[in-house]
Amino acid sequence: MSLRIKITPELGSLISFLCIFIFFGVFAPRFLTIESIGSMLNMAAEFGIVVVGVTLLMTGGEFDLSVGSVFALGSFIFVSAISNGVNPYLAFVFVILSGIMIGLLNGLITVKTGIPSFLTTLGTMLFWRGVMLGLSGGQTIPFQIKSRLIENAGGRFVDPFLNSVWIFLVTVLIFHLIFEHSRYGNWLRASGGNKIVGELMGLPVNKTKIQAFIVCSVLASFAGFLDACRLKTFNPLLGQGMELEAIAASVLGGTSLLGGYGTLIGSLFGVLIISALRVGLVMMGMTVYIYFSLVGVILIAAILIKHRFSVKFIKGA
Amino acid sequence: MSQVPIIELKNIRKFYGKIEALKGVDFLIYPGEIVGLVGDNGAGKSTLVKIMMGVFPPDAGEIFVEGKKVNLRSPSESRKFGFEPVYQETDLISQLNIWRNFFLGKEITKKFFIAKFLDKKKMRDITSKALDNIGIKIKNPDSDIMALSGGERRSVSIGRAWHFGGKILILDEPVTGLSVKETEKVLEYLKKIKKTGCSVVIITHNIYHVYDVADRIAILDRGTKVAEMRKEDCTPEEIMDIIRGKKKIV
Ligand SMILES: Nc1ncnc2c1ncn2[C@@H]1O[C@H](COP(=O)(O)OP(=O)(O)O)[C@@H](O)[C@H]1O
Ligand SMILES: [Mg+2]
Repeated sequence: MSLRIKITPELGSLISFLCIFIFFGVFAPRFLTIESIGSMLNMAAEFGIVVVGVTLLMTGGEFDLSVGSVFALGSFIFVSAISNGVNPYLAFVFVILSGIMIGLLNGLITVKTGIPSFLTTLGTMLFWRGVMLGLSGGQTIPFQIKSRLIENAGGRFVDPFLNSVWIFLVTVLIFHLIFEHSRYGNWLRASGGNKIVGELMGLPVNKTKIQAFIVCSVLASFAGFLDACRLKTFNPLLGQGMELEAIAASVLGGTSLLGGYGTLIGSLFGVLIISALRVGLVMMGMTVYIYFSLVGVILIAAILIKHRFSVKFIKGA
Repeated sequence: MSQVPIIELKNIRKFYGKIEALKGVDFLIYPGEIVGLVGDNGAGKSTLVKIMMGVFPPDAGEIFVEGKKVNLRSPSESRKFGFEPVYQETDLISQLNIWRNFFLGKEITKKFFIAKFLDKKKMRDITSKALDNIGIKIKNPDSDIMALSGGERRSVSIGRAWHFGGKILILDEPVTGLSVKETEKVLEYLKKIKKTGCSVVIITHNIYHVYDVADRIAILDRGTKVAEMRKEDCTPEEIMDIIRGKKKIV
C-alpha cells in the first residue's frame, strides 16, 4: 500500500457534510447566517439524540425500528402525566423508566428468542404506536403548564440555539467517550462484529446488547420529552418514519449495517448532513418533498463510495 | 508424575442432538507438560476444548481443577483459572484492531474520578512487547486485523493466549491452513512457551506437527480415547496407524 491515508468512514461523512454545507453556502441565499445555522442545529438536536442510540445499537449488531414510536410515547407519557396533575419532574422520571422498560423488552425478546431485532422492534414499533393511539384517542394534547423543567428543556439560553442542541452535543461527547475509551465500547463492537467469537472470549454478549437496547430506548423517549417541552403539545403522529431516517443518518456517518463498526463523530455529521439538506433546500426555495429523494440518493452514493474505498483498502493492504 | 493435574476431566460425554461427540473421555494435564491431542476430523477434539474452556457444559462427567471439582460455566470462568484458548475457527474480530483484539475481555483500565477509561497506551505497549517476545513483528498494534496474513493472525492469537495463559494454553489446530514456513514459526513459539513452564495442549490431526514438541500424546477416535502414551514409547508412524484405525491398541 503506497498511500497510507486511511479514509475512515467518519472522515468521509465530514467531507460530505462540508460539501453540502459549501454547496448551500454558495447557492442558498442567507444559508450562512447564524439564524439558519441555528435552525439547522435545532432541527438536528432531538433527532440526533435518537441517532446516538441507534448508532450504539447498530454497532452492537442490532436494529431498533421502534425509536419513532418510543419517541412519541415519551412525549405522550410526559404530556398526559402533567395534564393529569403529576409533578413534571416525576413525569420526567416516568418517561425515563418507560424507556428503560421498553428497551429491556426489545432486548430480552431479541436475545432470548433469537428473532432478528429488525423484526422484534418492527413488532414493538407497531405495538407502542397502537397503544399510544388508543390511549390518546388519536388526538393532539396541548398543555399550558408552567414549570422550570419544561422551560429549560424546551427553551433557549443562547439565541438562536435551543437548549436541546447543547444536550445533543453533550450526549454525543459522552457516548463518544464510551465508544472509544471504555471497556463497554470494546465489548459492544466485538458483540456486533462477531457474536460467536465474543462469547468464546468470555464476553457477556447478550448483556452488552440488552444494555444497548435500553440506552437506545431511553434516548428516544428522552428526545420525545424534549420535543413535548419545546412544542408544548403532544401529537400522535410524532416520530413516524424517524426510525429509518435515523438509520440513514447513522449509515451516512459510517456506521456499518452489519454491526461492529460505528462512531459518534460520524453520526454527528450524518445528522448534520440531513438537517443541512432540510434547511438548505427550503432556503433555496425548493419544495420539502425533494428532501426525501435527495437523502435517498446521497445515502446510496455514500455507501457506493465507502464500498469502493474499503475494497481498495483491503486489496492494497 | 506425582503432581496434582491442573485440569482433570473424567468420563466426559457430550451430545449434539443425537450425535454423541464424546463418549466418556478421560483427559488430564499436568503442570509444565505439552500434550498432543490427536485424532481424525470429527473425533471430538474441538468439542473437548470447548468443554475445557467453559463454552458449554458436558452432558455427563466431572471436571477437576487442581484437585477441586468445578463447573466451568463460561469462557470467562475458564480464563480466570488461567486457561487460554486458540480456537480452530478464527478467534479474532475483524472489526477490532490488534490491541483491541489482544485485550478483548481483559482490558486494562485506569480510574478517572468515577469513570474507568481504557489505558490504551499500556495496552498498546504490552501488545507489542508480548508479540515481540514470542517473535512476532507487528509494526503497529493499531493495525487492522484484516491487514494481517493468516499466519500473522494465528500468531496474534497464540501471543495473546500465551500472555494471559498462566496455566494452560489450548491450541486447536494451530497450524492447519498455514504455510510450511508459518508452521515452522508456530512450532518455534511452542518450544519457547514450553521453556516458560506453561502447559500446552496442541490439537491436531497431523501427528508430525506435534511429535517434536509433545511429551505425551492422546488419541481420540470418534468420541473415544483409544490410546495415550509418552512420546518415547511410540513412533509417529505407529500413531498414524492408530489414528487411521489400522493398528489394534495394546
Ligand atoms: N455445533 C455442532 N452441532 C452439531 N454437531 C457438531 C457440532 N460440533 C461438532 N459436531 C459433531 O461432533 C463431532 C465432533 O466434532 P469436533 O469436536 O469438531 O471434532 P474434531 O475437532 O475432532 O474434528 C463431529 O461428528 C461433528 O460433526
Ligand atoms: Mg476440530
